Amino acid sequence: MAQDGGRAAEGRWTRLFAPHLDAAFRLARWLTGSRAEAEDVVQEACLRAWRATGPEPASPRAWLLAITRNAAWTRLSRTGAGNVVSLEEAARELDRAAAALPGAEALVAARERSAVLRQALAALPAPLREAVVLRDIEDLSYREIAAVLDLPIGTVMSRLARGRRRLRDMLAKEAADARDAG
Amino acid sequence: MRATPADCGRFADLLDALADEELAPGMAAALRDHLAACPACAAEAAAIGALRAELATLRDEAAPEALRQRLAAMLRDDAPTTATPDRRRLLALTAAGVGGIAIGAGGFGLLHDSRPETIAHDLLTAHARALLAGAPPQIASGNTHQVRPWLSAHLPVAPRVPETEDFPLLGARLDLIGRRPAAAILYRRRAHAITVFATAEDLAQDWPSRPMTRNGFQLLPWVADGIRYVAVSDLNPGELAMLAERIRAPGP
Repeated sequence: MAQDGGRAAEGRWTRLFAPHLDAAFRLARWLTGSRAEAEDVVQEACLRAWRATGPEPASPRAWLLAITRNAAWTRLSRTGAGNVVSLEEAARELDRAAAALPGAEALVAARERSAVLRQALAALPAPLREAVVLRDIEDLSYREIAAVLDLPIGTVMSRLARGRRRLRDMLAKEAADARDAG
Repeated sequence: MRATPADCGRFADLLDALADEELAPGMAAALRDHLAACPACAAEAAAIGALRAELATLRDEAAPEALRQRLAAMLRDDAPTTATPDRRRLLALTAAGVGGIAIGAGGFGLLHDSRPETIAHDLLTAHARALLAGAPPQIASGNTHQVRPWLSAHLPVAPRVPETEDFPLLGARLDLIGRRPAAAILYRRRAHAITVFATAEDLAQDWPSRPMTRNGFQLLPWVADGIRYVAVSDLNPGELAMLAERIRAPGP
């Protein structure tokens, strides 16, 4: 009996949640700022998803992201860390990604641009950052984001608008600084 | 229709929701009318679109393989138990996902849940909006060897970006088409702007596969080397086909 239950749960996991592991990992990484922390957070969230019973969620992705987010904030409030992305780590990741690509001047520029974007997103206050990540990276609808963040849709809208505005300001400032330096 | 500053104030807060395709159709149409008459708001909308396209490139990051394997092993060993403390909240989410309850959406009757707009519409809008905004391309260069690497650094494909005498290359940017980032390569023919959109063929199932005309614009699709291209312009179909040929088989 327990075996059957295990198999059913495994099937449910594979069907509903396993496809969204990448999304959960990305969200955890943007919230914690660290790949190692993100792995722990996702592991914890998956264990909870695995153990959950009851009706199937209509949006398994939003559901998994919601428990991932809760696991991330619980963990961060415990360790007092978070909201700080290790720039060293970001640079290492970028080098890894760039090593796979052919070299060219424009490529260096694109890499720098991508690094600037990552840094700007990492520097965004957490409430704005999670809204932007859920919408623009994970492609959730306003309704799904409102459910994940447990907020009214109007608040989701204004956080998104403010978050994007701040990102654009940061990117514009960075571009201006680069011009001055060049 | 003339735009007034009052319109701008009224619409400014809705530009993000328009980009997210979360506005009710009537409100979206009113806002698009305003954008057609107001270069300042059109530029703002284009900037939001460009940022969204850039952010979408961060979707490529995958969970580490080691985590996948650890989870598989862990889940095999863990027998399911009954309700967890999160249960109530999870059920609430389930209900929210069904769309049965309005999550504090009071006052936002302008929100609308239906998202699909056709790819052809996305392509036309992206082309027209960039024209209207008059913003420079993200990479402004007539050099194949600058534009192509820039695109391949942002996208999983490296579309062909030949330099041609008859159709000067102006540069490229990223655009969100069908909610995924795609290349938008800019060419010119006399006074006509041409945008050639490109993405991986397997991501372009919903893209137009036959030439069509919408609102006076031509859409000319083709596939080469696993990449789907669609050229969009108000140029006549014959000359647009010439550009398509140049891109397909760059000159000697």
